[in-house]
Amino acid sequence: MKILRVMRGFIRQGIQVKTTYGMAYAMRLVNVFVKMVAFYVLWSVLYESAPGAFPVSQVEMVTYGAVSVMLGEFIQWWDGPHFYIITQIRRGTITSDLVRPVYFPFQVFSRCLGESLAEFITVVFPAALVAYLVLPISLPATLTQGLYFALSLVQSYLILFGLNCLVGFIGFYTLSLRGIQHAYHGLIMLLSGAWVPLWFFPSWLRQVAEILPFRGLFFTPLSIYIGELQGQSIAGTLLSQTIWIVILLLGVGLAWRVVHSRLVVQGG
Amino acid sequence: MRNLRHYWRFVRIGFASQAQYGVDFFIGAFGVVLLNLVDLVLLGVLLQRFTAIGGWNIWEIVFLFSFYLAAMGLQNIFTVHLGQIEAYVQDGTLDQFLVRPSSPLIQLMGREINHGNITHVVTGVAGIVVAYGRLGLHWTFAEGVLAVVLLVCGALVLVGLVLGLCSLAFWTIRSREFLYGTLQIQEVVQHYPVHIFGRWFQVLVTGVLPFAFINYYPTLVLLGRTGEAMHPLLPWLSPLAGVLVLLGGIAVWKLGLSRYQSTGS
Repeated sequence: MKILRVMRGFIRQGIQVKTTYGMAYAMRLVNVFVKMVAFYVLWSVLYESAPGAFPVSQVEMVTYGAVSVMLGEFIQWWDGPHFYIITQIRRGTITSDLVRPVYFPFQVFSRCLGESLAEFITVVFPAALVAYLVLPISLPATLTQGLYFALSLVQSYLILFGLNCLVGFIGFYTLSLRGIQHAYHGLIMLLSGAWVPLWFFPSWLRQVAEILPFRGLFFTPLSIYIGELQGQSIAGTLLSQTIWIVILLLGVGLAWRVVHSRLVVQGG
Repeated sequence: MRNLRHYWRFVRIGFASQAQYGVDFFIGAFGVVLLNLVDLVLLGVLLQRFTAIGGWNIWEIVFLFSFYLAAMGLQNIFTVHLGQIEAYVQDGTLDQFLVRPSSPLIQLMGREINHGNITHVVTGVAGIVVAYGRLGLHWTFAEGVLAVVLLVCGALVLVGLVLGLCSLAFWTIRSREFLYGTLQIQEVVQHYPVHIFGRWFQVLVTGVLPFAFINYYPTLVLLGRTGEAMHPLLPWLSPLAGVLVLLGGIAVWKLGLSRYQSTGS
């Protein structure tokens, strides 16, 4: 119950932060929408040039592109936990996080989840609403498919949290994450299916992507959303996401114990 | 002249401060190469399936995208610190630049040199050279010079855009959304010939947010495809666009600076 109260605080705070500056907020809405349109147009053009190359229908493909933009906006693969952690480290304000009687990774999680939800409510939802009205993109075919999608999305969020935290912890050693973030975002961009779905990959690259956790971030939920994954195969994919969550969260727990014991506070 | 000398000073200091973070300093260069490779691999994956996009074959697209990478790298090396204008305006620390006897803009830009972006330029130029070979192009010396001029002007368009967008912080306090949002859209778009996105989009990226002058129009000129633009003379305006957008960016900055009232602390 306490977590819900904390979360509500973070969500309210997030919404205020995002909507305080009116012009900036309006611009965000427009940006997200334009990005969705850009991906929609891109996939339409590609689809019409070679329909045979796609294992899915045109509507499914443009939906994949547009929903991928929506997910990318609020699951925080760009400025999530790792960004928060390195900012706190660099400012030295991480000390105030550490004196709170709440497990640090959990603090980061509730703060970032609150921000994500605020982002969803204030930006993604309105932009998506317009997109659904204007663009020919579809909802999940059935309610069950929609529920599986929701489940895989929750799991995707947890995988990303684990990865982001581990990357953020590197900052305790390097005190700067700029370069590491480039490499990390590159890996996600390539292997998650955020931009190009895995079914276009040459088989060696696809095999690499299948082994790693990144595909669980975008490709898994999106494939379920558009119905490319159905029935039996959903269970297996969801399970592989769950396994990664367990591995990554255990990793976060272990890494935090190591990192915490040798923390150096810069400035402060 | 004095500004240049100051700039050089600032840059040296900034470089030394960045080199403090040794590990990240080196991973930085590696990370950028990786990020570019990822982009090119994904583009390659797409083009292996779709031999042409909007009537352009793989090497024409590589040329287009590499041109963008090189221009963007050039711009980013020197202006990465402009993204901090927002933060300086918010907490009033912009004051420190105003009390020193040197141009505030020069001080700002000199704060940080983004060495990692040299790799963007190198990757971009390499891409252009490879595409040049594959497309069987034969430029005269004058055309080679033209390519360099267009590249620099493409970078200037970006500098002007970034400066203008960041300076909006003087009015809106927050400018991050304007900058990153615009750059994100740009990143999606610069991989492909603009005309695939349709007429209204071409007008948008020509007149409102002139991305098209960074790589699309220069590429049309250099590949001899000017007929594909909305008007065949439009691509030739790229150098002019570079100067105009830069002046526009500086004008927005000056206007913003003139109404800056420190939050004081």
